[in-house]
Amino acid sequence: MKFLVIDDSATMRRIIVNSLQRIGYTDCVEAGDGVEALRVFTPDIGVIITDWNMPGMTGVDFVRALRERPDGKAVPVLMVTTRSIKQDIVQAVQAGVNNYIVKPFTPQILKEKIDTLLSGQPAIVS
Amino acid sequence: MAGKPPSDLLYDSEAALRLIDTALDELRGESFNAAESRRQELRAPSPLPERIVGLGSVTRVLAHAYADVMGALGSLRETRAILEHVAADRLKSTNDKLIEVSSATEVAATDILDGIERAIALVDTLARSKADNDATTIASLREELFRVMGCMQFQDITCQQLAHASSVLSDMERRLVDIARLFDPTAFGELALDAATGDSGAAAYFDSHASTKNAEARQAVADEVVSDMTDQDRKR
Repeated sequence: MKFLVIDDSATMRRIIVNSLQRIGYTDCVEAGDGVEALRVFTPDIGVIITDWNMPGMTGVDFVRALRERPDGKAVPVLMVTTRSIKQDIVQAVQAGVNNYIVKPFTPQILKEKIDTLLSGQPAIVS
Repeated sequence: MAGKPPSDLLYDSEAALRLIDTALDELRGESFNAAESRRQELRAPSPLPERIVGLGSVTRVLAHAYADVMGALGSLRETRAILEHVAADRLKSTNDKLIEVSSATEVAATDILDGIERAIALVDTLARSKADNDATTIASLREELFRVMGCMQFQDITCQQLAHASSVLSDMERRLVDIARLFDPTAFGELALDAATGDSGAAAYFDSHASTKNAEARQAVADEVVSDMTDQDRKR
C-alpha cells in the first residue's frame, strides 16, 4: 500500500512516515503542500494523509481539487491537523475527507483511522 | 503651553471663534449700507474705538490659541517619533525574534528525530541478537521511543502558535503605522506598504487555535462529527 503524506512541516512528515513504517506501511511519497501533492499524486497511491494549514494550497483545497480528478475520486483521505472546531471538521468532510485526526495524535489513533479507511469507509463529497 | 489639557485648548479655541463670529456679525450687519456706515463713522467716530478694542481682544485670543495649537503640534511630533520607534523598531525586532525561535525549534526537532531514528535502529539490531531473552523489554523500549517521536509534534504546533503571535504583532504594527500616518503621511508611506505586504496570506498556513492541550477531547469531537456525517450520508 502506497501512502502520500502532505504537510508543510518536515517534522510532521517524518513523524507520520515513521509511524506508518511502524505499523507496516513503508512505501510513502511526501509533499509540502497541496500544489506539490497534486503534482506527485499517481493512481497507485492507496491512502492520502494531509495537513490542513499549508502555504500554496491548503489541505481542504487540495482534497476538493483531488475529488474533481477522475483518478482521485475514490482514494481515501485522512486529514491530520490542529484544527478541531466542529465547523472545520464538517467543512473538511464535505470537501471529501474520509476521516479526521486532531494533532497531537498517538500512533494508535493513526493505526485505528487507517484501518477504518482501508475497511472501505466512503468519502462524503457535497 | 504644550502640556495644556485638550479641554482648555478647545475652550480657548471656541472662545476665539465666538469673538470672531461676533466681530463678523457686526461687520456683516453694517456692510449692507457701507457708504452710509462710513458717513456715520465720519460724522460720529465714537463706535470705531469700541470695535478696535473688540478686535484687539480677538487678536490676543487668536495669538493665545495659535501658541496653544503650536504647542499641541509639538506634542504630536513627539508622539509621532514615539510611534515610529515602537512600530518600526520594537515590533519588527519582536517579529524577527519570533521567526528565529520558530527556525531554532525546527532545527532542534530535526536533531532529536535523527537521534531517535538511530536509537530505533539500534533497538532493532538488539532485537535480532537477543530475540529470546529480552523481547518484552525491547518491545517496551521501541514503544517508548515511538512515543517520544510522537511528542515531537509540539514543534509543528508551537510553530503555528508563533506564526499566530507574529501575525498579531504585524497587525498591531500596521495599526500603529496607520495612526502615525495621520500625523505625518510622508514619513510613514513606505513603511505602511512594507507592513501591508509582509503578512499577505500568512493566515493560510497556521491555525490560530493550534494547541497541544486536550487532544483526546478534541479527537472525540472530530470522531463524533465524522461518525454523524457518515451515518447521515449512508441513510441518504
